[in-house]
Amino acid sequence: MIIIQNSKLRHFLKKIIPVVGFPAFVLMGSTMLNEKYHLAISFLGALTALLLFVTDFEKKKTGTRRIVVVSVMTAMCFIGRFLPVLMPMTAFITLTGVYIGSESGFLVGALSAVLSNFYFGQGPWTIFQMLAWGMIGYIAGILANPLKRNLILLMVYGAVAGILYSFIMDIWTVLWYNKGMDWNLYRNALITAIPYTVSYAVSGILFLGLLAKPFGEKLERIKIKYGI
Amino acid sequence: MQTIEELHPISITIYFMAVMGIAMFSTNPIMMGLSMTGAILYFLTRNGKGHFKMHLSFVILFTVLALMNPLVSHNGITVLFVVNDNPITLEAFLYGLNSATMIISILYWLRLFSMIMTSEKILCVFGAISPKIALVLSMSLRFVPLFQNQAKKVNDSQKAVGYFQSDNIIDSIHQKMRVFDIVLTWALENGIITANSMEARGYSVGKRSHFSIHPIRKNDIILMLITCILSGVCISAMAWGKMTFLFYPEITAPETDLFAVGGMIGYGILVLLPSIIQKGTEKQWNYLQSKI
Repeated sequence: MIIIQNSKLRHFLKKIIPVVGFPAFVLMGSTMLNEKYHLAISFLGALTALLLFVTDFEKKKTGTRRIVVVSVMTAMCFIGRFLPVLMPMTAFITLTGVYIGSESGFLVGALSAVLSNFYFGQGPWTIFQMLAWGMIGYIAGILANPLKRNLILLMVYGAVAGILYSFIMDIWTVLWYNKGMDWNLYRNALITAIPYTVSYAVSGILFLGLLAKPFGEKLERIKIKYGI
Repeated sequence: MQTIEELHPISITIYFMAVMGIAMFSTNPIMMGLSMTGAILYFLTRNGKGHFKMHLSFVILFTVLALMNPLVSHNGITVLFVVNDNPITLEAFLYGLNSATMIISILYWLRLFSMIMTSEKILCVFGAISPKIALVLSMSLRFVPLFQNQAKKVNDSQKAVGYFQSDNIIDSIHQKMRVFDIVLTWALENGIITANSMEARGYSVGKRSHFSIHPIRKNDIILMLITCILSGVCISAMAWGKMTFLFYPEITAPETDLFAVGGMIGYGILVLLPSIIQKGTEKQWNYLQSKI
């Protein structure tokens, strides 16, 4: 894919794109352009973010064991999405991010969105789901140390992640329907989505509370024993 | 002659992305109509009759989406009637109709896309972008049935040992947790064994490439060229603002000139292409059969 030979330039770009380039792109898009371009901008932004991550992952040397563990966790998330009311995916992704690392957390989130949508239906929303779930895993990886120590904090993180996921996906619903942002529509979308939001938050708390200890122990053990 | 779905996955993906992308970012009602017609025609020529439930659900969704906008948005100058001090305007109603057409037509295209692109073809496309991601995805696809089988085995053996009663809710939750615990441990260990076995066979020694059974043929290149040219005409007409169609505050259509008409005709040909090819191959097949 995209190959930049000069390593200094590459490091510079790696720092500058997420910190300066991306927010600038989004701000410019939201203020300077006509509101009917909001959909296009959000779509392109999400797509570039994913592509940047994928190219980085492709170039890096990742251990075989790590790759296999990521695909095991992705399969677990896929199976978890079939539960009727509750959504254990957020909990699984968070735990992967906390115990294996932020990059693996992002990958598990993003890929389980692609994989489960083979069954639930692929669409333009796949990209936003990939980004939203991926970010849940990535941020969990960044906050790994405090989250590992404090179970309550972990449960709060699960609830907040579930609610934010629902909010982000509703932004996308409004943008898709209306091309530009419309706060009235957004409020209505949020109100109709209340049962889902509650179920995401509750399942975040429930599954993280139930699974954090056994799941964490297992991932920790695998990590220490086999050196992932 | 090949139908669209017998072509290379990448050219199929490019075709669908172009069609859906233009439909998604355009606001022109004529374009929406073209997209809807093309999608439904292709769906009917490809799948024939049937799929009644799906059509019904799309009709219901269409009605809900079309009626949602005038109830929520009160922009526009032509007031039809007033409900609870909220004016219902003609513009908002037409805008909702337009959006609903766009969404339903894209849902039809997506249904076709997922019917044509089986998971193996999607993996081929992912493999072209990133072989590593394709590897992770294909491994996960294999793990899903593996874990389900293992969970069933563990569950049966736990029951056979006599650990749990089946008429007690608390007990059954305990049982599910226990089975999940066992399967997770097994899955992670099994994954490590898989990784060891992969390494023993030389994974990570060379650069990873990907295997594909789909060759790129002449027809693939023709389809890609047609897609690029037609969508290029259409997108440039859109970018020049020849197709902007404003609903608020008043419906204003742009003056149609040759450029806009060209873009619309281009998009029309693009969306009707798969159904024409499909019908053509069917005719050819019948013709060849009648000769025998």
